[in-house]
This record gives sequence, structure tokens and C-alpha cells, in this order.
Amino acid sequence: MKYRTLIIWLMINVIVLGIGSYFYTQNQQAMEDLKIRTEGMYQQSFHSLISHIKTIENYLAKSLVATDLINQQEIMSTITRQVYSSQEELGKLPLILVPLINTETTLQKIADFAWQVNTKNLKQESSLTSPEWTTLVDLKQCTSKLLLNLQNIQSNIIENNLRWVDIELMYSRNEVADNTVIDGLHLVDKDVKAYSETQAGILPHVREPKVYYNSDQLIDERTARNEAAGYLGKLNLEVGEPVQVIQSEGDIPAYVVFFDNGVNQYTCAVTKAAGSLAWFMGDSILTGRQLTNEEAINLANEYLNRLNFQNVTLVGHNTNDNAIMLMYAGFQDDTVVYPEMLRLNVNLNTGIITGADFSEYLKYHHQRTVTEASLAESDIVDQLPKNSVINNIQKAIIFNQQGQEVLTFEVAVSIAGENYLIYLNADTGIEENIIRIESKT
Amino acid sequence: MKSKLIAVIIILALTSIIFTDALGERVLYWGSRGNDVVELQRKLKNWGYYDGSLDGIYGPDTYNAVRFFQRRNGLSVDGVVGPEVFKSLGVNVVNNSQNIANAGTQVTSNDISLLAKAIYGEARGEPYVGQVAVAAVILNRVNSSAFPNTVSGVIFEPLAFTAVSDGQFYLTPNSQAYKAARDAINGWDPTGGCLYYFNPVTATSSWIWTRPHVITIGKHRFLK
Repeated sequence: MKYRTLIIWLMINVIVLGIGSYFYTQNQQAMEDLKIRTEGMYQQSFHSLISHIKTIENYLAKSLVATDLINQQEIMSTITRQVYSSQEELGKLPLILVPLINTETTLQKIADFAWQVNTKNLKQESSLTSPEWTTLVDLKQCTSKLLLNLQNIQSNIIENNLRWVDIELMYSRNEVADNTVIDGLHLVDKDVKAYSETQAGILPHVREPKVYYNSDQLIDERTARNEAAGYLGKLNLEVGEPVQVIQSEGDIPAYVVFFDNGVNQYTCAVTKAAGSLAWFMGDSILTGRQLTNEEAINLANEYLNRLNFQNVTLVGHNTNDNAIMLMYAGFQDDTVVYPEMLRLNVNLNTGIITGADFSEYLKYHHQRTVTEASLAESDIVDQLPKNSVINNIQKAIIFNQQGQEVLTFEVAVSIAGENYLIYLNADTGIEENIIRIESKT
Repeated sequence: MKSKLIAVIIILALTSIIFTDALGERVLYWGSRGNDVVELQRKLKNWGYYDGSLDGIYGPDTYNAVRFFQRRNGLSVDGVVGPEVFKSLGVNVVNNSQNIANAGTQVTSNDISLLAKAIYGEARGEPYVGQVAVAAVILNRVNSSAFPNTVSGVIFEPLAFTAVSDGQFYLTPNSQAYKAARDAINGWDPTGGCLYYFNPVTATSSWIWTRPHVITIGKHRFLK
């Protein structure tokens, strides 16, 4: 009998082990399949990336001799398109161990340059300036080097069956990066960087505006706490005691003061200079609509008065289920000053202010004189597209793409069932910007 | 293109797209739904043109009430609630420029959901400001030339966010995460333009320590 039990036990063991190992191998197989599939996607992105860079390099080389405007335009458009595709492919690769920042920045520069040349072409200014020419040669050489380095990695990957998935695993196991692909990518970015300092002929076509914030009259942490409590008091908020103060070293250095009244968190940033209110946020998520938009706007106006913001005008609003976000801009001499933007969030259930953002106002507020427009409104109207219905015209200061303030006529028009704001330069009539206003459909 | 996006943002610094629905902001007709239809129905009911329910659906009853109203007020009887009808209803037609908060961005309401998922997966135990900060970093990356150009491109960049790698991204976010996402899209940025953040306790990349530090909120260090 004993002998028989033993055999039965043995058989059960064999069966259990068998089933176990069967499922184990199945599972391993499934894991391996997943890895192979992921690897396939990584390989596809990497090899496509190199094809795109190859095209860019090729077209940059062609552009050195292209003099025909139309031909040049086609070359530059192709370059722009290929840069966009390379950026897409780069975004699909696991590059956290080797951030290719210089490479990505250079790609963007190439696109900016192509845009710059195409703009010249539109204005029929065919020849490149000498810094532009130097830049073009430089970009071409840089791209050739980039291509060469990438192709080296590519042949290494192909010959030795190297896998991106392994790099990913190394990262998740927190291993020191010792891998020929990673070394190769480090070299790629280093070599690109060596070129980046000489590419001076590119005018970035979008520039940051000048910041007027100055850091005089520094306050200490104690004052910051009191100031923050004071601002929130003016907004009628019961925020309790400050629980923590941290420092922020961003564009506008600030003390960030945390409050907690047991129910809600409120956080308020006051600038280190002069202790102005930079921004504040509350986490209230009460839903339900008790207030109408008008009531909320009236409330917000009142609070802005209390905070001493008088010369501002409401320029936009945005509602979701429990809050309305109101945007104000500076208002001076019948002109909307969009750079001086500030925002308030009003909870539509309780009517309390749940957020404020004055950081842009602080950055771009300064004494300005609004110049007379040399064009009249009637000149502007002639420029608008035919069939458009004009709803409103007012003067507005906006930033142009070079980050400079320009005086414009802001024309609200409707055409073909769509609404737009068109900004026409008040002196030259140039179209500075168009904004489409999307309505709920 | 990224540059266009940046241009728009620089000019007005708008990043919001959640739609408004106060009465007077759009033309209403048979089939329209929303809070503005409720408001329309309430007005018509108060003045005795309408006796249906305030259900926010522009159906046959509302249609008849509107036509009745149009006939009484000498308007063209077409059942379409446009500027003329708004005027007769005493509704201030909101000036177009009042609506620009909706304009000038490619962020959609689905992007808000993606952001909320990223916030919830990455920072649900963090202070509220820390949650907004995580969303702000994602949006700053969208606008940076060194990162992909879309919200989804940034979030799903391989290994960029641990929540995506370990699957916590697919949890259902709470309403606080949604609010944080909306605040970030509306322009609040507690990080002042940061592109990176990491948890010093679990950080694996030594490279990350070389970036300039701006602010530490909860467990996360935010870097330029």
C-alpha cells in the first residue's frame, strides 16, 4: 500500500511540474514575442530616422547650388517635411539614457532655416546673405557628420543584432550604460554640438519677448508668508495657516506658500522682489452650477479691484462643468494690451476664486505709450476677405513673431460659418496673426 | 508645425479649448443640446411660450415655442435661434472677442483626458500644485523643439514617463486630476517653464542632476 501511495504522489508531482513548466514556457514565449514586436517598432523608427536624415543631407547639399527660386522652394519644403518626420521618429525611440538634445535642436534649426529661405523666396529676394550662406554650408556639414555617425550605429546594430529592447531593460534594471549603441549615440550628440555654435545665420522665427520683471526690493520668507495670507484674505478665502514655504527659481523667482484649511489646499506664489502676487491655485472640485457667467464675471471684477488691477479688460472666458476661467488683458487709451494678460478661475458652485495667474502680467507689464495708428479703420476694412461680416474692430497691442509689441487692429469677423480674430498691423496693414474661434458643435 | 503653435501661444498665451455654452454664443436649431438650450427653454417658459420640460434638448416643443416667439415678435419664422432672436430675448450676444479663450490651440478635450491620466499615474499622491506642475511639464515639452510636437507624442515617448511604462497610466483618473489638467491647459505653470522632473529617491539617470533646478514640490524636483 505504502508503495502505491508513493507512486501516486510521484505521478502527481510529475503532472504538476509538467503543467507548471508548460505554462512557464508559454509565458516566456509570450514575453519573448512581445519583446520581438517592440523591437520591430524600434528598429523601424531608427532605420526610418536615418533615411530621413539622409534625405535632409542630400537636399541641403543640393541647395548649395540651387539658384532657381521655385527649385529652391521645393528643396526647402522637402527639408521641412523630412525634419518633421525625423522628429517624429526620434520621439518613438527609447532615448532616456542618451538624450539627443543637441541633435533635436539642430534639426529644429534646419527647419527654421528652410522656413527663413522660403520666406525670402516669397519676397523674391533670391540671394542668401553671407551669414546665411555660411550657415547653410555649416548645417550641411553638420548633417553629413550626423548621418555618418548614425550610419555607423546602424551597421553596428545590423551586423551584431543589437537590440533597443536591451537598452530599455538596462534602464529599468538601473544598470550602468555600457553599450555600443549608447556610446555611439553619445558621440552623435557630441559631434552635433561641436557645430552648433557657428550657426549664427539663423534667425529663430519665433522669439521670446523681453521680460520687464526686475528683482529689486527683495523680501524675506516671513514677509512672503504674510503677503500671501494677505492676498488670499482679499479674495475672501479661509485658507488656514501656512504649512510650508518653498522657493522657486523660475523666470520670476518666488516664494511658494502652501496653505491647508483641513478641507482644501491653497498654494500662493509671491515674487521675491516686492512681494507681488504671481499665481495662486486652490484644489476645490465642487461641481454644480449656481452662478451664471455674468455673476461670475462681476465677482471677478470686484476681486480684481480689491487687488488693485483697474486698467484691465475682459478678453476671454472658458467654462467647464464647475469653473469659469476668465482672461483679462491690460487696457490703455482704448487699446487692449494683450501682453499684460492675467487669468482668474471662478468656481461656479461656490463663487470662490480657485486660481489666479499674474505671471505674464508681471513679466511684460511696463510703462508704454500707445502710438497713433497711421492707418484708419476704413483702410483696414478694405483688406479683409470678401464676404466676411465684421462684428467688431478695436485697437490691440500684441507680440509679433519676433517677440516685439506691435499696434494692430483686432477685427472680429464671421465668414462661412466660422469666427475669427484677425490682427492687422495699424501702420503697415500686414496681417500679424489670425486666430480661429472654435465654437461648440 | 511647432513654430506655428509657439507663435500662437506667444501672442496670446492661450492654451484652452473647453467649450463655452452660455446662451448667445452659438446658433441653436432643432437637434441642438446643451446648457444654452436649457437657458433658452427657461426664458421661453417664463414668458409663456413654452410649457415643456427644461431638458436642454431642442426638440419639436422647443421648435414650436421658438416659432411662436418669432411670429409674435415680427421676426422671420424659421425656428432657428440666431442673433435676431437673441436680441429679442434680451440676451447679450457675447462679443466674439469674449470667446478667444477657446481659440488658437490644437489641444482637444481628448488631450485633457490624456493629461489627466498622466497626472493620475505619475503624481496622484502629490500636492495639488505638484499635479498641475506635472501637466505643465508635459505641455512645455510639446512647445519645446527638443521633444515631440503633440501631447500624445510627449506622453508616449518610450521611457519618458514611468506611469506609461508600468501601466499606471491606464488607471481611471479622479476629478482632481482633470482639474489639474485643465488648470495647466488654461496656462497655470507652477514650474515656470520646466522640461524635466524626477523623484530623487528613485531616479536612475545621473544626467538629470546636471539640469538647473527650479522648484521642488512634494517628491518631485522640477528642472529647466
